[in-house]
Amino acid sequence: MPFSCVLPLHYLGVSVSAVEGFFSEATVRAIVDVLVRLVEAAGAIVIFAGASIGFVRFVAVAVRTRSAGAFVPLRLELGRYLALGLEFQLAGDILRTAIAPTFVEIGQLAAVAAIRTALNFFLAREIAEQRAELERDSSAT
Amino acid sequence: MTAVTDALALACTAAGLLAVALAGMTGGRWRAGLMFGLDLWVAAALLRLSGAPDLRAVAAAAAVITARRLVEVRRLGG
Repeated sequence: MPFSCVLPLHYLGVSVSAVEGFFSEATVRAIVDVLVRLVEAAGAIVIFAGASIGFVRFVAVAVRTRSAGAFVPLRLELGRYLALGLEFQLAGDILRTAIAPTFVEIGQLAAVAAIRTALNFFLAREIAEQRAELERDSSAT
Repeated sequence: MTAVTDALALACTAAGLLAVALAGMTGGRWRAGLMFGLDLWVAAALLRLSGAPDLRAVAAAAAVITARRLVEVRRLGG
């Protein structure tokens, strides 16, 4: 349906063709593409930052202590970063569904989104389990 | 962006290998090291899934996540 039928643009002094041009499929596709890249870059930055911080702390703990339980808080923290990065990537997937034209692309998108959602579910469960484990250990000592 | 995320994923993979070796050599904590290494490999798989991943990247991520889950279930069970 043309915009001129939905919005009384001529009262606002706005050219109908300019608005229709702005909301053309190519423009929306370009805007969504930029947004997807931004959101995915944010997710990648969060995941890599978490991995880097976790690895540096892991090396420090591995050299300083001899207990395997000392790694549990580090895994908990890394899991939080991964979960946050995953949320960004899932947001990117959702945005991408707006411009996925073929069934093959939609299928790939569904596979990636399913993996991310499953991992997000397992991560949330493991974070809860590890937190409970830490609380049990701290109440036992 | 794919080249950058691939390089970051490679760094995470190498960090995972180092973590397993370090935990094993500094006190025989192979399993704890493997768990942390698997977390870093999951990070690498997620970085590879950024952008427009091919089916190989999706399959690799699924394999790493399944392996991680199996080791975690085994750790909690035993």
